[in-house]
Amino acid sequence: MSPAMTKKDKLLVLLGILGLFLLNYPLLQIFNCEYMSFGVPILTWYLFGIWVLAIIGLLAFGHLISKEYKAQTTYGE
Amino acid sequence: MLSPGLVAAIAFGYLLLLFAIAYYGDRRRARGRSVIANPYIYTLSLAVYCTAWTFFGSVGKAATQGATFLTIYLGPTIMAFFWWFVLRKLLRVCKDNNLTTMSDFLTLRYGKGTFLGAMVTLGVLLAVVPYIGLQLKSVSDTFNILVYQKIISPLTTPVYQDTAFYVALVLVVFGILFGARHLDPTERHEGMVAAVAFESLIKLLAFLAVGVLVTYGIFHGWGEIFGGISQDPKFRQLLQINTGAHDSYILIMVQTFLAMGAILFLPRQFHMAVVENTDEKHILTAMWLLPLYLLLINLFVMPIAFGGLLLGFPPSQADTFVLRIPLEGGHPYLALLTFIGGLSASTAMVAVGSIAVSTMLLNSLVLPLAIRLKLQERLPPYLLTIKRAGILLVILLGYITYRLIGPSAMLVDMGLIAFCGVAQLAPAILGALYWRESTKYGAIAGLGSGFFLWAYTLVLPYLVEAGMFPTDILEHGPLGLAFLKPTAFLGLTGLDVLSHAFFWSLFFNVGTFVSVSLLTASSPLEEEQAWRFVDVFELEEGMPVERRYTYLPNLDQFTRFMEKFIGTPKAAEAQQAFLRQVNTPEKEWGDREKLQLQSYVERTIAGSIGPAAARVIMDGYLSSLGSRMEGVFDLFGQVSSSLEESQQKLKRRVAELSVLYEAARTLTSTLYLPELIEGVLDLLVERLGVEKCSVRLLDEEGMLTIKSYRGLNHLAPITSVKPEIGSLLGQCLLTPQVISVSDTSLMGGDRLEGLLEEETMASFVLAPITTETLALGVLSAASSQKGYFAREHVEFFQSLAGQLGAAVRSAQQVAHQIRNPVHAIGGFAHLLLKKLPKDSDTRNYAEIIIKEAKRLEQMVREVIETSVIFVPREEEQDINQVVRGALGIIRSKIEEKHIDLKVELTENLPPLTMDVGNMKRVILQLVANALDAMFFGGHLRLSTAHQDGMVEIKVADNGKGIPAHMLPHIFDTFFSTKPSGPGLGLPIVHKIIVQHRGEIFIESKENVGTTVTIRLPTTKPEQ
Repeated sequence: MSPAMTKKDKLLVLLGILGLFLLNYPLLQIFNCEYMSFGVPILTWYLFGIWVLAIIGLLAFGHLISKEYKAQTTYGE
Repeated sequence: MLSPGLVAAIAFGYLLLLFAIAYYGDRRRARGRSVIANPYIYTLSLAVYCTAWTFFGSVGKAATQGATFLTIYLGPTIMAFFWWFVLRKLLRVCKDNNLTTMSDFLTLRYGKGTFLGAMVTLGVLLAVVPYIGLQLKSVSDTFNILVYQKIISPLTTPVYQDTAFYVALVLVVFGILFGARHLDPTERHEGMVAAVAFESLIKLLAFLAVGVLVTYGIFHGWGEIFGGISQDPKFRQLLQINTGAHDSYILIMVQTFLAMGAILFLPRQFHMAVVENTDEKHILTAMWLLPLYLLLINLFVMPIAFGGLLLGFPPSQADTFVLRIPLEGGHPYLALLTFIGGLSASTAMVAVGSIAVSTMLLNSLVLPLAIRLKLQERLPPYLLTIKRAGILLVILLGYITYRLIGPSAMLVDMGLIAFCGVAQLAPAILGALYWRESTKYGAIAGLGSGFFLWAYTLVLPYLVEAGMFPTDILEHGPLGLAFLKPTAFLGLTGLDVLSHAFFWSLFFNVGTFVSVSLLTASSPLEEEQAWRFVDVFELEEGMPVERRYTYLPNLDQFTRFMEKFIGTPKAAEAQQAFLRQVNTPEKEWGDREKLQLQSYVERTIAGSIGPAAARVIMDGYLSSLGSRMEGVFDLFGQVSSSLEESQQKLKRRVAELSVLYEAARTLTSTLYLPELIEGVLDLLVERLGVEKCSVRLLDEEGMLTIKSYRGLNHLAPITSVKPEIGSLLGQCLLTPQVISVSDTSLMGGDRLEGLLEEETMASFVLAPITTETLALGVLSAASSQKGYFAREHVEFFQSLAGQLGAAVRSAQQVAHQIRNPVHAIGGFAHLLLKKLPKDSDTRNYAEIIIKEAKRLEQMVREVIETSVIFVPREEEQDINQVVRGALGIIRSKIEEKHIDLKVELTENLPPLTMDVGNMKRVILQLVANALDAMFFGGHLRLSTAHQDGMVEIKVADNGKGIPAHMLPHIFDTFFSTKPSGPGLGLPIVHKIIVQHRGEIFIESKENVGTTVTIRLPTTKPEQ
């Protein structure tokens, strides 16, 4: 059993809130311009970049939490 | 070009393949080797999120609005960060309670009423049905494009020529075969999950194939496509956002929030993520893998959309670029693969969505209605048929909406309407999980206002557009009231329709949910559920026993009961599962296991009929067997149910428990009363830090004297007082009850009479030391701090004083038993001494025996003297009054059981001298016994009479009677004719009657009835 949220759980929630900020006005405004890089608009780079970072972050946290999460609860048959 | 026959055959073949996969999945589950119990299949099953709307609609949206479509997939990615926090908790609650839909979840949390569930179901139905229509449209449109190169409008085709109609029928069969082949109490369909996971893979591969073709086959990479678009003045604004209302920052924010809600609260997502989950650890994989899946399936959306525009396809056809580009670019088989990909996306959504919604319909609408119409007895054989009919209904409704409003809306709009609809569930569900004070009325107000405003500001405008309502409403407001215009509610303008609807619906939803919750109180049932939901991770395996049924069916009876709802094989499975779970043979079950069984059965049938119906049916079943619920005082249960208390308080509770435990040990380790009392007082001071405490006991004159104390001055024992009912001390002893005073300055002086000055400085507690019928003394604890003793201390002191009482009583009994033998031993030893010659060794031994016997006698005397029997309060009273008073208390129970009651009281009986409270207790106990003996109605007769200087009271029933071999033991303590129950009733009755110098007789014949006769003397007791 893991009753209360661990610090890692809280950090994960914090990152989610950060993601919400990164993908909304006003931070979005910074990248909303005509500038293109390697033929692709900077906004597209930015959105997909955040996406990739989020996936990496989630992957890392998933691994960390599953290591600590001993008490498995299986809902089989 | 592709022939209709070929496309139809391939589509049909593909569906057969899916069915084969599903069949395989179900077979494997039956053998206990699940194919879906791994995190990757779980992730792919969650990708049911990507419907035809993703497959075709994303491109459509990208080609008209640029990057804003990404919010629909970035929202779930952000939400993935909260999954471990929210989804895991939701999962735990649902698995613990066997909940299979969101309406069941809310119904259970907010007090098992039916209204809330019905409202949620209707709201969700309204949101999801057009969404299903959208999938039908998608399959039919893509089929027609593939075969006839054009979309055929349903407005111009009759139903029997409409491809979508046949698609709907195929999907109904598909849904029934996958989701309703048999009844399953857990609502889990492993076969379907396996098929959906496979479909998720196919749709991703198909989309990536088209993406690669467009990006690298037709064009030379992203650079060329984006470069081309940026050069084109018509399309270059697509590369930016916030260029107008259609891609504003506000809309982006709204869509992100909606998508965050949708990934959890869409019925199909809830079904896949919660109901079909096999292990909560899978969340940890899905939380990064699903975002990756979403990223991959969106990677080529912009290249395809912009590529299509650059190739000269009109933006109005953007919804079908994915299909048209390969088809017209000379890759018909790739187009066919795309069609299969789109088909996968649609069929998966329709199958899961229709199953989830039909379960909701069954559990929250059909069954509660059937129960209201009293049809629940006849319903079980039809449950499966009703479920299948539900799937048919949901899909056909989807088809009807498609025909009515489908053609007027682009694919994406329907999806967002559904997203906004299910977003209304978010406050109530999150409140259920995290906010203990949220109430049923709050949830009803929030969901009601939210759903209404959503329908009014978002659904209605589309219905108007489809020509179902006059356009006046949109232009001038209903009845010309401009401030009620659906798209500018209360005069709010400047927002797009979606943001406007989102704002108003959730503004009212959250506002009323919170405010009404704060203004209303939750029922005890809701409070219990709130605790179970909010603190789900704190719950331990063994739930405290807080209630108990007077009678519960055994496991076989319960299994037969379950069979009606889930079928024989599943009921047998459930029975075995329960036996494994409790891990104790049925013979050894106590109240806890029986109660566990009852709630297990209720949860199991709740899986197929919903918690509201399950509760009504379970209650009906139990009451038909003559069972009723009663509370059980359980100190440990109380402790775990008040976990919300601060840690400080909790520590004190733990200390209290250890005191009780130690006290129990002390009490059983010694019979010597002074030692025992000292031990208890020491525990109070050492473990609980009680400043001052004392034990007062009654002596022969009925005076209360302090026998032992801690923290009081040394003169304390000298004071002894007569307990008067007007003083707190007397009230505590005579009523008897625990009295807690948190601030003595608010008390009148005479109420504190008999207590020491030191005890009444700020706050104190008095607890009566009693046995079953006698008051022996008072345990007191005091503090110089106001409000030191909280409400929960009352229970603690009651327990402790009760233990002391029991110890005193057993000490008394043992002392009485020992006294005579000890006398005899002493006496005979004296005789021996006289006969033995002087100076012999034997004589020495006899002297030792005499000495020890004297010591023992002294001890026994002390024990007996310190515990004097208290004379009950006696007054003159008419026995008929007492009988009437007792009947007044228990009458509702008599009526509840439909028992025919006859009362024949002889008037003008001579008044009796008695303890009215005790005598009332006697009558109540006898009537309660009679009620217990009669299961299905019966006759109960109460009469009084006057005969030979005695007053006679008779209680006669025609119940099941008492077996002859049990009659002689009927007044023994702890003997009971019932299989369960403490067996204290009749012994107490006997004692009270003997105290009143009366007699009690029981005549009983099995299956004929029992008559209890009490005879009390009319003469006054000698003073």
